[in-house]
Amino acid sequence: MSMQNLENLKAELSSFVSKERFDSFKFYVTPVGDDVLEVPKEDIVPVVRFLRESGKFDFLMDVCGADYLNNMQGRQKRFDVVYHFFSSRTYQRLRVKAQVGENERIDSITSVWKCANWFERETYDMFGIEFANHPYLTRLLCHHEFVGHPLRKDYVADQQQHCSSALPLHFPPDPNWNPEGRSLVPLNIGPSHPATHGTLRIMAEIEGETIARANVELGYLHRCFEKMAETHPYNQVIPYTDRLNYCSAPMNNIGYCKTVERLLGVEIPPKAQAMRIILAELSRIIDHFVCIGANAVDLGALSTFFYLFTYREMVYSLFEKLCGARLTVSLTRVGGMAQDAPPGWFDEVLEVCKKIRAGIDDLERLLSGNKIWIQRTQGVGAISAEDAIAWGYTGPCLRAAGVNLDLRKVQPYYFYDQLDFDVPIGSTGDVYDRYLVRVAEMRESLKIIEQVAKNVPEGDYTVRDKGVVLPEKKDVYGNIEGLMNHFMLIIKGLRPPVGEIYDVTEAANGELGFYLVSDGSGRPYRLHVRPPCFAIYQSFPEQITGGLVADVIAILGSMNLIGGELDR
Amino acid sequence: MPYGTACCGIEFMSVMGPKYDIARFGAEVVRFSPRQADLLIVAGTITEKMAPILLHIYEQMLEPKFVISMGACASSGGFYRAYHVLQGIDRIIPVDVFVPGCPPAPEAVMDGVMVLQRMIAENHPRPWVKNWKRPAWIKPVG
Repeated sequence: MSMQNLENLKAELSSFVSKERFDSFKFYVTPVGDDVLEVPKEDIVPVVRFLRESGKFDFLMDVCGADYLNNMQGRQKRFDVVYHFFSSRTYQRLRVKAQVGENERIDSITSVWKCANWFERETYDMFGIEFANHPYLTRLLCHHEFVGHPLRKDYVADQQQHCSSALPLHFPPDPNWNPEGRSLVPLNIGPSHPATHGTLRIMAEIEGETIARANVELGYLHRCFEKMAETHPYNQVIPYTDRLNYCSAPMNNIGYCKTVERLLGVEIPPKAQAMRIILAELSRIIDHFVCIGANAVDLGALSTFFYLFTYREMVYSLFEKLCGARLTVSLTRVGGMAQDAPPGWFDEVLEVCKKIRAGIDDLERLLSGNKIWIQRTQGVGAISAEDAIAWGYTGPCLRAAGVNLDLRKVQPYYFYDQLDFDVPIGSTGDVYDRYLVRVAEMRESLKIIEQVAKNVPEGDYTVRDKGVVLPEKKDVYGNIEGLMNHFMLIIKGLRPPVGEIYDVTEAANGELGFYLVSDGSGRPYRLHVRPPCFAIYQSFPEQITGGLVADVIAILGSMNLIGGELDR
Repeated sequence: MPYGTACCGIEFMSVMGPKYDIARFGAEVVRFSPRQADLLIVAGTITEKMAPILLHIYEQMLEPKFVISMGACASSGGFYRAYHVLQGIDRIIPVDVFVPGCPPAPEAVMDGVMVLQRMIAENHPRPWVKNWKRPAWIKPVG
């Protein structure tokens, strides 16, 4: 299938660009099945514009960089800028790569896709690759006094740099901005603020109660996940993935392990798949609990928060029975699960599902028909489907805007295609729709959990491949082969073949993608996370401009921004 | 005042929640303004970008003030030995109680609050506050 699409793309592009430019393009399919197009950096804007205007791809999912300083064979230039595209009509994906040398610039594609803005800023921050014609190329995640570019291979991971002060209010330059004769009051919300969920900073200038212009600042929780991933073996990266979207930690574990397993070419046994599906859906439910609970608390509805946390505690007890930890579980390993479920665990899951069902009914009684809730959230933050796609929205926020895109249905993994569940779709994309979509999704997740927990397949909880999974302790201490196997795996690590992969899962917030480049060693060469809420948050300044200050908090809560995922 | 930044912030919400109710131990009211709080609970990773802001918040609190560092990241940087993570908030503010864990179990957090209450009741000496010098690299706000 991929070869056919690549052939079609080749044919269309050859008639679009001149012959000598076309000869320098390279089309290939990676061994894991990803379509890749390599172009010289001068052609990136025409090619990307063609991809958008011909209707072939409507989502720009991700832009990231990679530094091949230690790995230059077969390459002319040091850096790679990698673009990932997705089509919501044909469900095809494409990776476009352009090589950029040191001190060279590449054109920005923000004129074609506005959501490339922050992705390119982050690539500049991490690698120092300059994007020509970018509207506001400044650091995004590291602080403003940072010297150097941390994800370059010659930057030592623990070389700390202190910051002496916070930046004053700043806004991107806008030629149409005219403050003459307007009485504007500067307002800074965060980063230490009860409603900014930890570490978001919103800077605005307001006129009365309306926001005249707004800007956001990120990076207050930039914990250098991608650099830590380069310095740790594959299995040791799993605790770092827990802390990405910490409200639904198992989903990040599953996303990461699925990526590595696909690169390794390993298929996990059915019981592990069933456990992963149950954990993913449980995490989705608790993530939506936190989102709705926090959103409600910010608007003044305190009781919902306490009600929802009771149910969250029940799910925490389930996780605790499985691995001992409540919040940052590291439940999966590459190749399957960390350990088997204790006897009776699946029955307890079904018990908890019954209670959660009652809890969601309580939540609906508290909020759905509540006059205050409806007045605060209906019509607030509405976004059209085309706008949402242009910004790169995925997940409940996209579905609330009316776009029927759920990766569990569109590109099913594990055995989601054999399960019976619906995908709730909203209509206006406002905060009330997002709330309703999340509540409905929780009910669908309960359906999925019940279907899977009632028919758990028999079998092992992990593959028993010697090069991937540690042997059981009784073999490690019992016989010499187990001991040697354990030793080699710990010292050398599991080693995927050389290559790259971009794999996605439908996380609670949307498409959680992992772009992994492997050089055959025991540590990832480059691991990039495509966070779902990064794209959603990029649209935030535009969403709140022209609205009331009170609506800022309502919209912020509905986007479900988790700092660990946003800033990595 | 809960200064929740990351995963420990979520666990702190659980501590305040109905199951592990820290209100039973006298910590009912959560104030989000440093001017009204006497206990600052730093829950979560503090990055270099956030450090000046944390110091600013601490300086805005009125005496007597106490600090609990919740979690491994706040106590020592956690397992993030990285270029943007402050390796422990005790590098910028004096800490009374460190609660280890990643995230600490809610019982551990309650134990931390109770240890602090005992320290206050017994007038435990606090040399880390007496000998605290404001970190030189952070500019005063003014």
